[in-house]
Amino acid sequence: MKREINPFVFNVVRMLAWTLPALPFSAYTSVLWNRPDTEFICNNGKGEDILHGAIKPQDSNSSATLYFRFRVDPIADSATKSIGDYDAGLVFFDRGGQHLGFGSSKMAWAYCAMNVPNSQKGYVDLNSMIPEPGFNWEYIRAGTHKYIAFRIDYVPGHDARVTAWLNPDLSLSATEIKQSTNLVTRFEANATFDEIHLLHDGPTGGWKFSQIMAGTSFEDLRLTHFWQSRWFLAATSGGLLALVVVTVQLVERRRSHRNIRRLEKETALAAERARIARDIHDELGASLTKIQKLADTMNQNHEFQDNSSPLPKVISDTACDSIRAMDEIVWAVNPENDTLNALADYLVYFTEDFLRQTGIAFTLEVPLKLPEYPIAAEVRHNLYMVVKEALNNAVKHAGARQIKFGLDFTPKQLTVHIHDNGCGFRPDEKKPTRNGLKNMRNRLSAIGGVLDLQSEPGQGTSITLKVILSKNKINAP
Amino acid sequence: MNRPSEKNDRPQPLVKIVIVEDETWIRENLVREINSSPGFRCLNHYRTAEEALQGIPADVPDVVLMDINLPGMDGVECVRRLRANFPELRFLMLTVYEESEKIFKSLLAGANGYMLKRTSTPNLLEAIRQTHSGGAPMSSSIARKVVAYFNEMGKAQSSTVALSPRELQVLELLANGAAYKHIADELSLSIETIRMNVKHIYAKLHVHSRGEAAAKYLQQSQFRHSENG
Repeated sequence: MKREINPFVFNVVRMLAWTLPALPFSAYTSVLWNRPDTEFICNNGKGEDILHGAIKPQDSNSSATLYFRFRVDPIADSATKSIGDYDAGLVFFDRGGQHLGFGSSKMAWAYCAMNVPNSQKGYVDLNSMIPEPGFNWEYIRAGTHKYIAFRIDYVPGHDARVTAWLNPDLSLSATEIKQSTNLVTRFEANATFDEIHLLHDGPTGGWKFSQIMAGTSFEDLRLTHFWQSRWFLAATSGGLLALVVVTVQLVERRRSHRNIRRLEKETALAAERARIARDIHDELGASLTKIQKLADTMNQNHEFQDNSSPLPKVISDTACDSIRAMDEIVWAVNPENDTLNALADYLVYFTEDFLRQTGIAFTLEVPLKLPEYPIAAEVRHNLYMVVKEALNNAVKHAGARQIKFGLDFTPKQLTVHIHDNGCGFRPDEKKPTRNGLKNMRNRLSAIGGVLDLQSEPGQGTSITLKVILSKNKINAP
Repeated sequence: MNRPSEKNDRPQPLVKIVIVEDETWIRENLVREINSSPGFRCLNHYRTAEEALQGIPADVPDVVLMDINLPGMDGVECVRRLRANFPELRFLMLTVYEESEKIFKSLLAGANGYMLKRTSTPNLLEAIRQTHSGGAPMSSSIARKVVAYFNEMGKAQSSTVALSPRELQVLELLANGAAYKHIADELSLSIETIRMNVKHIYAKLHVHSRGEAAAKYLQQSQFRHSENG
């Protein structure tokens, strides 16, 4: 059997497969230079260029906005040392000369312009939001790392403009507008840079630099945690995709296995029922017919007629009754009859066969054509037994002269009416038929049906059987 | 195919019969009963449909008693084949149970009536007599199927095979459970006329059955059958 994956699930999986790997790439297209996983410890006065020529020198006509970010982990407190105006940081070089840096002064986190003629020299406090008690600044302490981010706008013919943020919000939803600016200043118009040096000058054992990157928008500076990195997203989305696919397949396989098992069981059951019906029909039916015919022959035989013995007649009648009973069983067992049409056929046949023998006139109100609607064997058998009992009561107890049998069908409900013009009775009266009535009600309630009885002495009896069909599936366990 | 109908007080002509029945004892019992009844003669009897197809053309019977369920080819198919070559033959189907679908298919294939095997001998002989004269009584359950069939064929049928309004009336009354006598009363006709009508209904069903529509219907109901099986 072909296994089919639910098309909705399939489409969702296909969508995930397309979008997930694409997500990490789309947001970082403007990153110019990035060393997120590299840590540097620099402890020499000159520092080292970390760009290795990755960025070309800007000329004075350049028009650009660049963003930078780095993280500093001081290895020791610098506040305890008496050091110069500017101590350590990330320093921009232009053709070998220092220009501006971000890092620490002897007191505070600082910006510093160097060898820039028209700019403010020395450190400028980056204005930490958490100054130490009694001071206007925050000291540099071991174990308290800082992120520094800044923007440089190169304006042709004018000084470049620097905006710096100390400890900005770099979460995934951060934007430049939402940041509180710690410093805005300018430096000489012609200054450009082509090198970035990591610098530390002093006795405190150096700084640890990490998460260094340059980009063209503030969004580039946002911190991506390891679980946001491309390889991780690619791997997890791939893994997730595989998991979804495997789960869907497992669920589908289990479901289809269950369906196959159920179908196999139903088919086996139907085949077994058909076999039993055939066997009864072929073996017992033929034997009983033979017995009945033999008894008939005996009855016609003069020897027995002389004795005027009713025995052969009794045998013949009994055999006849047995064939009828078997007829019922074969009909009830055979899965070919598990349809509304077969049920109606049989009810009509039985009503006719039964009432013709009694000589009672009857009317059938049964639709000529009924759908091949599935009716469980249990439902149709119980319905048949109730109809049989009702007709029997009408003939034996009510003494009816005319019987009306009707059958109605809507896709939700099957209704059978049996009306006789017999003597009728008071429904609350104690009568021998009471037990039979209780039995009929029980049979109907077992298949989710109800029995409605209307009777008055001298007014005949009306019985209505109603069965809700939607609940009854074929071969219901 | 429609013989002139005999009068009620006619001297009963000899009815020549062939039996097809696989159950040996029942077959021989039938032969015995028929041959011991005046006015009936059993010419031959066969165990299978295949043997019957070989032998019946030489026997030239009036009525064939055909078991519906036979080993190998079933009675329905056997009737269909014989009917094609011998349109004068009458067939009376025998069955252990009332299997209205199979009985109806037999009628479409060309049978003129059916009897349950448990039917007493006098009733069986009466059914053979009626089959010989055109058609056995039609039960309500079969009449229902015949009406439904003619309805389904609808306008496709030509006027020669379509039921007359009277026939349709009789058929519908039969389907609603009315006995021949009641139909006669209701329509102010004689029972004999009702029998004639039923006979014509059988005949038209057979004419139908040779058309493509019937073949299609048989295939369809087979298909539905196997779907539900």
